[in-house]
Amino acid sequence: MTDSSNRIHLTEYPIAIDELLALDRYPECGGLALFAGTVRDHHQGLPVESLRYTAYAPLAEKRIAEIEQQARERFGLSYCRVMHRLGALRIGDVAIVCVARAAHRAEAFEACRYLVDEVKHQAPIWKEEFYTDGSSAYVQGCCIRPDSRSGDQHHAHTDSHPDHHRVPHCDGDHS
Amino acid sequence: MNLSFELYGELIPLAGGERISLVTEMAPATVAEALSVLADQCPALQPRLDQCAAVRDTDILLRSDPLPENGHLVLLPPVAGG
Repeated sequence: MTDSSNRIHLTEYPIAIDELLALDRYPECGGLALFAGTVRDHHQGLPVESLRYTAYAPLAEKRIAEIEQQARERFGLSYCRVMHRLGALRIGDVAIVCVARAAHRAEAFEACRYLVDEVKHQAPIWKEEFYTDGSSAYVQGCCIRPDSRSGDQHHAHTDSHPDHHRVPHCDGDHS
Repeated sequence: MNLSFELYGELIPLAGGERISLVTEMAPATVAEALSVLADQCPALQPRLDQCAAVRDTDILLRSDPLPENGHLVLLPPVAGG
């Protein structure tokens, strides 16, 4: 794990949502969409007791910044922010927050969904689940290797259909 | 040549650590060749390597790309944030 002093999208501390809303700025915005992903107590029928998120921070920071920029351009946002928790989380803790602000609500809603979907499928972050029986497992996710079949499909799709955002299927993608 | 691999996610328990260092007589020319050496030396990782991205700093490399001169690769298994 690298030095955390320069992180702006990853944090090992509880996320302060109010600070991400930028309500004192962007008077041209009439829509603010907020998504907060929280830790649930089950996964595929197994009772979950807690989670642990880890990341390859240098690339995760870069990817999330790129996703924010793509969202600003695609949806004409004045502002967007993504923050992801790392470390040990309990049931109900906030794991990810996405904020999108636009002139109108439709763009804000669409952008917020885009942000969370892209981060889930592109940022090098891993979720290890700890179950009530004492066992644990890493949640299966999305391959980000660009020269794999799934990687090619994902990039081809998002590049060729900019107005119809969809995400590829990923194993374990249920939230 | 000295090879080193930095591991993340489910690769860590499979390998028993966050880093693997190897010494080879023949220097691998490409990322694919380096991963082949790793698969031979650490069979527990072999089934997972096809789905891993190989990274230098913040650049994801193709399997056909030259191996970085320092012989170091970061290996990222499928991601599952959010």
